Amino acid sequence: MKLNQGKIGRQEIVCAVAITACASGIFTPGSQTLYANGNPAYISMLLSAGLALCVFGLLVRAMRRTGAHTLWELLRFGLGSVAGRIAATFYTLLFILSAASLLSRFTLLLGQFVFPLTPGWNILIYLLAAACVPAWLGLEGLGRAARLLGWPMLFSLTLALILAAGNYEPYRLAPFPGDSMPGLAGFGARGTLFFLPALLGLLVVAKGAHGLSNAGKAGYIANAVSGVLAAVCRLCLGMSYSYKDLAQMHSPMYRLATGFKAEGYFSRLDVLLVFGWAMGGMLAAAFYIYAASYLYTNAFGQEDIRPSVAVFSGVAGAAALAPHLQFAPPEAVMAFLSAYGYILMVAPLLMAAMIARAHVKRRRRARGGAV
Amino acid sequence: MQTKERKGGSIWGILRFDEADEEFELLESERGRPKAYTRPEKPAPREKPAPASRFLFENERRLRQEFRCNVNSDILLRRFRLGQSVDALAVCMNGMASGGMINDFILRQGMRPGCMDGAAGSPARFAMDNIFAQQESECTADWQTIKMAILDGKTAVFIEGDELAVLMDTRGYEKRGVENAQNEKVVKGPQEGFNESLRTNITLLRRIIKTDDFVCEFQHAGGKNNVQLAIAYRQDVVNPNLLKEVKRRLHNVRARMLTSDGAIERMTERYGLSPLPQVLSTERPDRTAAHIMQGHVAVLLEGSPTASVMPATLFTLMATSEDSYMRRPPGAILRMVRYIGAGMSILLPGYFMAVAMHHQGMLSTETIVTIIQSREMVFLPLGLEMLFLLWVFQLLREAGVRVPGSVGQSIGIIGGLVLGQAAVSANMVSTVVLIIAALAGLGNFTIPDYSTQIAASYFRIFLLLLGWAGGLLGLSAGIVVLTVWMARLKSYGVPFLAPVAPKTFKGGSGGMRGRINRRQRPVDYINTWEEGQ
Amino acid sequence: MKKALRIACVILSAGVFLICAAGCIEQKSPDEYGYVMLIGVDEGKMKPFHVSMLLQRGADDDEGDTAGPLIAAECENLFEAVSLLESGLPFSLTLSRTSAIVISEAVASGGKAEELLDVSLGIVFIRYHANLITAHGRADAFLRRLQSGLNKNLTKLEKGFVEFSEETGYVPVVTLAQFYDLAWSGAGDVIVPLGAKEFADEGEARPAKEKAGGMANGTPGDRNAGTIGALAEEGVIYAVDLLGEDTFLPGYMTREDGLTGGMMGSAVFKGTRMVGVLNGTHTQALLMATGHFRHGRMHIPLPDGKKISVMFTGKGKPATTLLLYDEPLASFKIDIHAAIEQPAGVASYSRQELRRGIEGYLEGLLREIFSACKAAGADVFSLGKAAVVQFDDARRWEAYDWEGAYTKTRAKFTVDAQIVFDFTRSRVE
Repeated sequence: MKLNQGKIGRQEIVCAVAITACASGIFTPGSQTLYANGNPAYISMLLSAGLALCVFGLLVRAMRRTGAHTLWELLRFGLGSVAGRIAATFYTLLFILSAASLLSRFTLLLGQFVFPLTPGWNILIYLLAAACVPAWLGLEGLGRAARLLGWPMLFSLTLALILAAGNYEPYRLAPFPGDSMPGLAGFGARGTLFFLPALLGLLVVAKGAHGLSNAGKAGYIANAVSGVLAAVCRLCLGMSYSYKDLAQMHSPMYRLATGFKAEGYFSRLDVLLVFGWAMGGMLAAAFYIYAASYLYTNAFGQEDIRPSVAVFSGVAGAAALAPHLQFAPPEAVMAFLSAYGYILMVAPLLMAAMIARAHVKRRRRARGGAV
Repeated sequence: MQTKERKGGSIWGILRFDEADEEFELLESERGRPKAYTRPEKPAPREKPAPASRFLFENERRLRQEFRCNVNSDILLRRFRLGQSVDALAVCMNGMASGGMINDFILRQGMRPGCMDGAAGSPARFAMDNIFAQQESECTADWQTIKMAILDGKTAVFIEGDELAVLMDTRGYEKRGVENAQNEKVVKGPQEGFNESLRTNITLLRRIIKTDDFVCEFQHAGGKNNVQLAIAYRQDVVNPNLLKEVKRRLHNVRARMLTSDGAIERMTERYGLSPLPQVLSTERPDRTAAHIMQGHVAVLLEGSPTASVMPATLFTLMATSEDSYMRRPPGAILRMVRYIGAGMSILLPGYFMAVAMHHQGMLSTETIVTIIQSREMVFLPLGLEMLFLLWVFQLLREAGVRVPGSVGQSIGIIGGLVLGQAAVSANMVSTVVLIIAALAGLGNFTIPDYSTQIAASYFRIFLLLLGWAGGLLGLSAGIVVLTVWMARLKSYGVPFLAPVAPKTFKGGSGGMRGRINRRQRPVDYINTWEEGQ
Repeated sequence: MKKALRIACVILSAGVFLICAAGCIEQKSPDEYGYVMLIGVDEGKMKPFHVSMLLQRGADDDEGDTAGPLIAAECENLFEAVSLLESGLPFSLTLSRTSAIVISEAVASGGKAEELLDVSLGIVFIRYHANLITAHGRADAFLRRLQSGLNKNLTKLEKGFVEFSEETGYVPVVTLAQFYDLAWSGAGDVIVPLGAKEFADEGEARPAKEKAGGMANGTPGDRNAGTIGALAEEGVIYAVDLLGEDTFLPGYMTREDGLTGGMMGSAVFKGTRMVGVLNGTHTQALLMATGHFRHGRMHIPLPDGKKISVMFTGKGKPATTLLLYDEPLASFKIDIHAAIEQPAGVASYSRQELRRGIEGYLEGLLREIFSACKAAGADVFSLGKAAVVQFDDARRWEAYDWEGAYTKTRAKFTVDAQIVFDFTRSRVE
């Protein structure tokens, strides 16, 4: 077996998952829907992270009760071999699309603001290579690199927020909260699409994180960190621009970085900061691709993860490039996914968890033991 | 469990999807705690030569034949009468054995009348115990052992009527004395360095490590030139799995000629194509001893003035022995300077290229004007300018090493001043790029390990090309790939970036110096016996 | 082994080919660019705009004292300007170093700024922290006046104006980001630094009197001094017209050569259209009310006809409250630190009298400015910010007619000045 997993410590896996969730939470949400009704994104981000944490907690409990060590084992135990494989394929696609979404966002950002005369695929090749190679090399390299590169990424993020402090005006958050409670809750629920895939990826590679117990703790920490960071970023964005402006920006974080009131070198730091974030994006995409490959390899009994990594990297690259080549999916499909995607994502998991627990209870009852 | 040994990491291993990769792990892996490998793979048993004969003439005939005495006059065969009663034959290699020791302690002692009186049992054993006054002696009938001992500079004494021969250490060949370490100079601390004599090197280690568990195992190096190597370690500290793995890899070494530990390193490393070394090569006994005390294993080869210490991490390669001899604040500052210099050496040219070619908005007005003015008449594109200067730097470096004597020192001055100034005057390069290349070159020299310096040069070129082609995007992609690759690299089962990634307990001195009382504990990432393994 | 080697070679070759085909990202050496430091926009004769660009040149340029070449073209928009100018130049233009955009009064008051300052400016790499300046007269003339042997580093020169603002309060500082924010959000209106005009540039005679402090278009009596409404219909209302203010306009200087560009107050915008001009003193007062004032010197008239010089220092943001009645009521409480620089001249006044005098003067000034700007419909006190925080739903805020409510707003200004007689605390510039 060449799964290139190895074992990584808690700090490493926390960094890997936190970077992934942060990158997805900060850079992938579409501004038009997020700021359609005011500026409550910082609240809905926290809600999304919280909901993702709840789902993650339920899954961890279910896995502990049923003795499943990884997500695949839970799916197989809960849904059976065939349905489990179908679900595994679905989540593989989810991971690939999450990676593609990140790569696409960064391609757009860099193509618009940093390399305007460069075709999108030219930019994407660098991002994709930097995502494919870590996934190929495996979880150990990915986790340890995340621990090392997580600090520059965190530094570039916080530096951007600190340097932009001169532009913050609390009135821009008004009207507060901007939307009704049901509306906020809806945003929060839809936003789990940004945080949950990273946690699911953690459950896929839980063995490499020294088991479910450690993976669970790591997931809680990573989610908390990423949720807070994403919410703080949205708060700072909300204080820098009104919701009407934000609704028209596809890369608000970059706009934040170009608006520093600082003198001298700090006013020209935006490009450097963007590449600090891009490194996080590359690692995040690598984590998604690795998780997809690992899940697929486990589900379909493959011996080597590397062919899957190569293929899924290509698929993610193609999916990332499609919007730049005017091959966007139909509007109706995108609208449906945006509105109900979180239900599609969560439903099979909860079903698998409940069925698996029911099996266990039945088995224990049959043995006459305590339930 | 038999493992398939990859031959130094072949390039097509990357495409073998059907083969399991049983990599040696010292820390826990996805398969659980690392299990010890079974006894090392034994070489195919060669046909053992017949043992020594009881008859002296037979032994002499065989020796003359096998050592080609008709053309090879190096072998000395001296017949004498032991105790003036028993025929004996002393065999040694001219120049390798000390004539004085043979005369004084073998021939004179052996020729005393009546010295064999009362001999019972094996004459050879009697002679070894009662006649020959040599501290290192043994009796053996194994013909191969006898021949190796003669080739090694020992003297073999055959006695009529006994198949056992007495082997005595009479080595007295010319060798270089203990001198200063040439390539690892320090300001504070010992100045001694290893030399080519294995025995001397081990002595230098034993002067520092005076513990009863310090073991030096000798074995055949694996080359057809029959040199020996020594595996040095502390038995009560070292991880037994690590030791077994080292022995297993050494056992698989097969070469025509082994003269330096570099060849051993090449044949035992897992990632043959990695620019970064996986073994620390040092010519300082104090540095070697420090690592042995921490639980590392050192391999010394006869004829090589360096020791190979394994496992080696990036921080091991970046540390010098001087770090231990300085106080904590200056030691920490020096180490920081070293890391900053190394980072600058690798990143600065690529960063400059990326910013100058793709992101001019990041430069201040003054910098832009300076660059524009300095490049007004330069005909080379910026990227080629930088490559040219880095190439010149490498040439100077190689020339400075190869050119002998005092001229070698002048190369640096001539090359730096004349070439640099001439290149600027000839409008081949601009002053700004010259400064960048010079800073990168200087930063390279702050890296203590020579192999790591070379590796840093490769990384510099790689990142420079990426920065040139893709700006900061290319540079950041390169940094991510390099970091992940280094994080994945292992040296004898230990991650290359330990103890930073993976993070081990705080007592270890990862990047910066730890408190001295914490250095009483061995490093965590080797899982030594002292750690309760 | 041979087959594996062949496969490896094929894959490696494909990889190398791919990388080469991907090509290097578009790149140019720094000396292949011309760096546009300042952009000026005027009305064009044949096309909507006349865009001029001041480039940065080398430090040891032998061609006279000019800081850099000024190039210009007529165009539909800024993107076309860049293309047209590049086509005639031996290098490409980059706007990533642009530190300021200067819009002429004609363009600003004609409402063309909205079309020009589209958010898509980011595509041409103009940084959002670039400053915005309105030129009183032609923008290209203003740029020409900045060319000077004093400092060939145009970034430092432009930065000097920002520092001038912070040290004196005579002009505000507005970046593109702030302009976009206020112009389109409805939470207030912006005042933009006003570049001074040189009469000789446009062949106009200097006004006979400097009563209005050298106001470019003549004295109040020369203009149609109708009602405020009539004036508003003309398109631009000058503070001097509304307020009868004849204070000398700071920043307006006559120089024979060298740097002749300067600042003279601020231009008032309603949305993206310029609707008025405030002189330096008015600008100082307005900045005090909006919390952007750091230091500045004012000359306060005393009852006995004398004027004293007072150095003011801001003490943080003023407290603003807004009550959204049918006629909204706004109140401003401004804390300010006042150092009187001629203590001997005020010996006959008590501290209390001086304080009341200074506070009264500032409050009066602020009331006048508020009335004038309200008449022009410009919410320069950013009362919109105080209005929006009183809503909890974006839809209700969007449905609320704040513009209409603003025209009925009443304002009350309370200034609390702390007087210091220590003349050493003031600074001579």
